[in-house]
Amino acid sequence: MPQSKLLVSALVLILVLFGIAVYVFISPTWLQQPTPERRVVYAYRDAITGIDPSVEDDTGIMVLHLVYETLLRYDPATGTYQYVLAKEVRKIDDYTWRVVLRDAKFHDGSPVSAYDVRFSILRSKLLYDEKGLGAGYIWECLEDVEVVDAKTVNIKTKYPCDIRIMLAASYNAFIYSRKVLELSGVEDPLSEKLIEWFNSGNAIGSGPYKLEKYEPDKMVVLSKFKEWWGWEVINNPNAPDTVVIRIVEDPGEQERLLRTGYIDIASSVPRASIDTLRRGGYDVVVADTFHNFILMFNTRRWPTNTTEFRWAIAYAIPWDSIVDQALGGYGRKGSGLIPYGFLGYDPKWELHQDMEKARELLNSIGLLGKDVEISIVIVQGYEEEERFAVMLKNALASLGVNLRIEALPWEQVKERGSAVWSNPEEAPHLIMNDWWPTYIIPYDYFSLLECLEPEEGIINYWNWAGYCNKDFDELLSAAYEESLQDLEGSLHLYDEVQAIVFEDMPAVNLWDIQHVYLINPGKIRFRAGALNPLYTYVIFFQYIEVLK
Amino acid sequence: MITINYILKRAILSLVLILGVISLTFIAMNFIPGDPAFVWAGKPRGPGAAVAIESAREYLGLDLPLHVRLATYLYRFFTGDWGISVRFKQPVLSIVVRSFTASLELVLYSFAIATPLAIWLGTKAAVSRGGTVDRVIYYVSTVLAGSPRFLLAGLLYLVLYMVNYNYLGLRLDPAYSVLRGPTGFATIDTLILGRLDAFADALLRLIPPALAISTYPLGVLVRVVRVTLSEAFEEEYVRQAASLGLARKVIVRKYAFPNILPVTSQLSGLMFTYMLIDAMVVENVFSREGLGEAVAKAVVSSDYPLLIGATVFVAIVLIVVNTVADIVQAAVDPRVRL
Amino acid sequence: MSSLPLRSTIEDITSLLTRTWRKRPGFRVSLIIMIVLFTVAALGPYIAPYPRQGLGVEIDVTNALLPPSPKHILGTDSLGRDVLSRVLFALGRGLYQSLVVVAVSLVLGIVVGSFTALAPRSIEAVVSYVIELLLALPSILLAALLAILLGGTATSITVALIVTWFPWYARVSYLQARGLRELDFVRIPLYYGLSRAYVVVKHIGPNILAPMIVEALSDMGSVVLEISSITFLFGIGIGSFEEPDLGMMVANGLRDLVRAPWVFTAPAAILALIAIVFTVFGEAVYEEHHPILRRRWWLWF
Repeated sequence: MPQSKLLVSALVLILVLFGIAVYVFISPTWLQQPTPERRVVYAYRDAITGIDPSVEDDTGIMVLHLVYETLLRYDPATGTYQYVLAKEVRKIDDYTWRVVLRDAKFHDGSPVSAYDVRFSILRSKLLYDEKGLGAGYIWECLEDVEVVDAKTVNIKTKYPCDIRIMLAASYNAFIYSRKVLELSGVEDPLSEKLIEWFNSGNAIGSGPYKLEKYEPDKMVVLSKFKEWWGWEVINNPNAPDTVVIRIVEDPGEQERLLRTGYIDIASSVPRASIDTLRRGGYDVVVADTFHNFILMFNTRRWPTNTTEFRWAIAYAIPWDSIVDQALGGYGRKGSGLIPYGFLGYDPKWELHQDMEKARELLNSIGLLGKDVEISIVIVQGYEEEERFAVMLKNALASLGVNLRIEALPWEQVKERGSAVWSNPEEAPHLIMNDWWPTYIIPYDYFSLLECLEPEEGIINYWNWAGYCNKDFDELLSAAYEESLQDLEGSLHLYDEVQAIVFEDMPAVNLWDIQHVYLINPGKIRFRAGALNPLYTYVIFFQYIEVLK
Repeated sequence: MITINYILKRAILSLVLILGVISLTFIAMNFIPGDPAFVWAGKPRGPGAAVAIESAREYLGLDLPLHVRLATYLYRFFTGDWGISVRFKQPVLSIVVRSFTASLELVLYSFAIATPLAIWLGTKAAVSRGGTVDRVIYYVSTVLAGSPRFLLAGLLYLVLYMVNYNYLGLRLDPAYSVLRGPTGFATIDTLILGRLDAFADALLRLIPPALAISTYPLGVLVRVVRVTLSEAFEEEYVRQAASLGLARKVIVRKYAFPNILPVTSQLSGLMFTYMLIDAMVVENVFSREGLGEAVAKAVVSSDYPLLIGATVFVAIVLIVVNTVADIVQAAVDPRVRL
Repeated sequence: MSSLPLRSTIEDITSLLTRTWRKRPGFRVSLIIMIVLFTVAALGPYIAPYPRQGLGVEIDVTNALLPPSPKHILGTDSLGRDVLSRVLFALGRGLYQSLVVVAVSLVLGIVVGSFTALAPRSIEAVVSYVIELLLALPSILLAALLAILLGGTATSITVALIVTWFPWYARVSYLQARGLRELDFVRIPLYYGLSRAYVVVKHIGPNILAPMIVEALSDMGSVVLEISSITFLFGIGIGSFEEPDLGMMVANGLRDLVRAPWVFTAPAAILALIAIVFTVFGEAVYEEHHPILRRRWWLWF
């Protein structure tokens, strides 16, 4: 009868498939065709937020510094500038800098010219000035970019400032081809459509790697740009041919993928596993960074709108154990908004846990032991934030404050944070904003408390505290202008700015974190120059060796 | 007995149900406190929120009267305009179809694994009614079917990981991610493209999660087969056949199987719902792309259009599957009256 | 007088249960385990060895991921919390939530189903259509939808589940009531003008209540599984991140699956136990009560 034959044939088919699978499984050589190319997979924990070189101010950084280049790069360890796309940067007079470009090509073969430099820099500046997008504020002192000849520009400034700081910035200082207008079919360089074009996966830069595939949620694939000017200079024949940046949000999964060889460089494995991995033969690369975690208070919502309450929480934070418990030892307690090692850092702003003071403060506003409900938003999968939040909850419970913890992906955290301006009741009382530098001026770290002009609709969407203090803004502007001209000399002004922050307590730096990269030493080797604290989470793959 | 009349009736009923589901989502959106445009735009806050809400307001046509909006809403669904996903910034329908096909692949393979196995085991159990084999099969199938799918998936994942099984997670190795096929089923597409290595890769990644999911239909079907067959053995005409000297095997095939088919097809319709949910859970454990991942991301981003799209799509599939199952059952089971 | 239907229902249930107890060993085992589960769940917060860790408020990262030992019978999780305590707290929450869902769905379903059978044809048609509609909705997606609309709280999950479960009971009671409505003891009171509510409560209800209550009890197992699947997938339904919830614990346990499998296995195994035991319970009773419940594979759904 047909039915039993059907049954038997179905079983046979499955057995056959199983057979093939088992055979393939135990003889993997047939499956894995020998790949002549060198491939490296780097896992990062958040989705890429965008790759428009003049607008992107977040996680896109690790793609942008491979696909595009800046004119200069700054090395905080030595305090010197390195020439990247520029081969000479010279101050001609107080208001003019001359930049001479080296011979370099864009990914489509066209040469990098002064016109492209003018186009990119002005676009970065104008998108901020006119539309409030991106980090173009770094070009504050820029007046104009004049083309002298095909390889030379004169940068004109409004007042004397050290333009090299901007040329080496980690955001929005990239040089790209003005052909993007042609390729995207957009006429107005400031149009939203051009930004969309970039963010749909288009790029035309001069960096060592080309953008092959852009799936911001899952992975970004880059391939080696053979005509990059730097290959001859660096002399790294083992540089990867393909770079895959894979988004893996869960630290446990990063560890598993690392162990099974699916990723080669993991940027966040569970801290508890680091020792086990080290013993298992993996290399642990610990990098100092300027990356810090800032706890911001919602100053527009009760009860965090009261300074005493904010200070009470600040005193309740278990300062002396957060580095060990939350970071596993890979970091340093925060002292003021400026991180350790960055110009302007001062250990005098350190805090210690003082439950007595916290109780006093709460009592003074009549909130001690009153079962106050507040909420905190942290990033899902950020182990350190999860641990900190629970530690804080524990500490606050003894004061009669109930902390509700909500864990969301990074993009949603940003949304909730910036809601403080439109609807403060919807924004959480506490939120963690992890910050890394745009350039080496301390202004950067204070910029997230700037108020700008909310009455006119210009809000600072990184200011999740809703903090609006015009005096602070003024002092900060003065400090900023000063630092553009005389960085060392302006530090005392930043000190005053920090004093205001300390007094008002709209935000407090919890810790400066070290990045821990786990790699398989048999396959990957880091050369000097692969990591640079100013360019956070960027791995300069031209300095990575892929061994076979 | 199956007639055109019956099929037509069922088809119309399905259509009416589908209309109802879509209308239900419309009601949900518009009668919950709050601004429907805000919800449709994905509850945006921060810069660009006002713009997003405005364009959502336009799209939904909130100034128009209710029946016009409902009509437009229904019309849009039937013409394929299901809105743009807030999270993925792509048309909802394409995302839903893509994710659903991924999960469907899992479910189909699970069925394929479970059904012949269940028939075989169920027959064995029915034949040795009350014996040890029967009892063992009964208990094992209960445990397997009753356990939460994430337990089995997690344990399977752990075991495979320990033995260094290389094909855990994802649908296809990223090296093959440039391959794009017409159907959306990884296994079929790789075959169509002639890439046997990619096919093997897809298959090997598919089997562990499919195994985990198959325990549920396995458990259910084994017991169905077992009970139906036992009862069939007790039927008059079967005993007659036995007394007439027909071999047991022939009896099993000739008389009992026609009884299994209708029940199985009816159950398949119902099991499909739960298998889909199981697929979403197991996908999460194995880090595979599919409906589970898409919906989870949608929930977190308040991506209302995507979620509505997924709900309506799945509901439609379930209604269709159940209708087809009913029709098949009617066609096969001579006892079904209309 | 009005206590009569209640008493007869209780009598029906008890006789059903005792009959099954006598006849089926599987039933005895599952009932005992169920009682143990309920007791443990109720006493959970009081017998947990580390109650503050159970609630999640206290963490001790230095003790993270310890394997089971006399000090921590089920080991510790990635934040150093005692897994046994967490499971005890989560068990109570899970069973309570599922009880609410089942109880409300049962009552709602019976009321809707019975009334529909007695209602005029047009309403009957509309309501049965709506019931079919709700049956077509997958609960997990509805829960996700409601999470967006109402916020991802435990209440929104409960509501979503009630909406998808009560149609099952409604359909069964509708069919039963439809069968009963032609009988004299229903027709006559109606004919004499007694309200439908009275008829439902006094006459129809008691006839269908007993087996349905037992079945509802069995359905609790499936509901617990559904809730945990929803929390597992979406991470909604808890007030604060550190609260104990079986589904969330399983999801978080996946993170350390390879290094510390007990963090994942403990809550998952408890869920399996609940699911299996409740289903066996229901099955045993159904097989006993075959004549009234008819051939139903519904227990597996």
